[in-house]
Amino acid sequence: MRKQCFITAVAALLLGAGLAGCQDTVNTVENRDLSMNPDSVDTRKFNTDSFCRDRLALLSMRRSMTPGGVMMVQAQIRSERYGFWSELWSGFRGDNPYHVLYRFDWMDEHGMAVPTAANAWQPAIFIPGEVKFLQGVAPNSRCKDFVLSVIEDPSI
Amino acid sequence: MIKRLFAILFPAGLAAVALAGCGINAHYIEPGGPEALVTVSAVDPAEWRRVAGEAAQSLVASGALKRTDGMESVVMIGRIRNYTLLHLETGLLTNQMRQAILASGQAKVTSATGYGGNLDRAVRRIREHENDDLFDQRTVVKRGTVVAPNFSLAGMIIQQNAVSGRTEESYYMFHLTLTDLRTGIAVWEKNVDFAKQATRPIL
Repeated sequence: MRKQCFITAVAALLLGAGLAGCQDTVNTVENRDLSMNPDSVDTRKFNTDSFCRDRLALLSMRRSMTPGGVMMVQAQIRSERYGFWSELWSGFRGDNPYHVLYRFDWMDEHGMAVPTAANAWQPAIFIPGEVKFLQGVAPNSRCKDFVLSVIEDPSI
Repeated sequence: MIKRLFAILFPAGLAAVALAGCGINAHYIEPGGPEALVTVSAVDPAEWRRVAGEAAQSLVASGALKRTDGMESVVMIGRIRNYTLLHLETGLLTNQMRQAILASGQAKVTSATGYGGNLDRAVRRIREHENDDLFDQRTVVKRGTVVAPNFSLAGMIIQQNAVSGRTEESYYMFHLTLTDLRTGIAVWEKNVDFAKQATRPIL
């Protein structure tokens, strides 16, 4: 009985290790002494999806003015689905790579939302460990405030 | 006999009720939202919105619509050439672009000239009533008042398909160009592309 249990556990572990080993993860390298001087944005988060919260980490939120005189923001986001257990779990669930939809909503100086073509949900695909910059551009120069919404892509 | 009939009909009735319950009544969804259908063989509404959104953001951010000669920027919406095998309503893209350009405050969009639904023929037709005694001639719009465009927005859509075994893939690329009509030089270009893949079930 004990032998059978041991064999099952080893087989399960090997299968898990095999599944985890099949995952492709992103490896990155960057220059240590950064010369950039980004204009960081203080953010307030409102998380409702704990899965999304645990799988994506907001590393930074930066803004700048474009040549067109409108504000551009970039959210630097990393997929946290790396490591043995995360890869094992996402291997079972089949959510590797991780598909999300994101949208920027922009507000004018009176706090009114400005609907534009750019309000559409945009897809983004994250490979475990990958860092992506989700970018939004204000529809006009009066818009300075924004909300970034992220959801898991339900079609996957 | 009755008991046997009941034994057959009752489960059949239950199955029918269960199957009927699987359907979903007609309901509203957000255009281009998370519930929207994604197909491999077509450009879906979500993708038109995505392309228009990305292109509009790029155009507004580039500053290409801003003129240095003090003239007002007026954009003509030209032809979006369809090099795919599909029938595509490019108005789904150009209508969104028109709105985004206007909303940006960086340029105006002309309806006096353009391609397809972007041309309003009334601009020319109303001037054909110059000598029509039906109209009060003081109210008829005179010739020589229409503002000519100084930019043209045009583009193309390209599709490429690939099949490997049961997996089908479609690649679409939208290429948009803003041309300065005075010099003929393209002052802004943008590619928006996406690929979709689906695998057919074995059975």
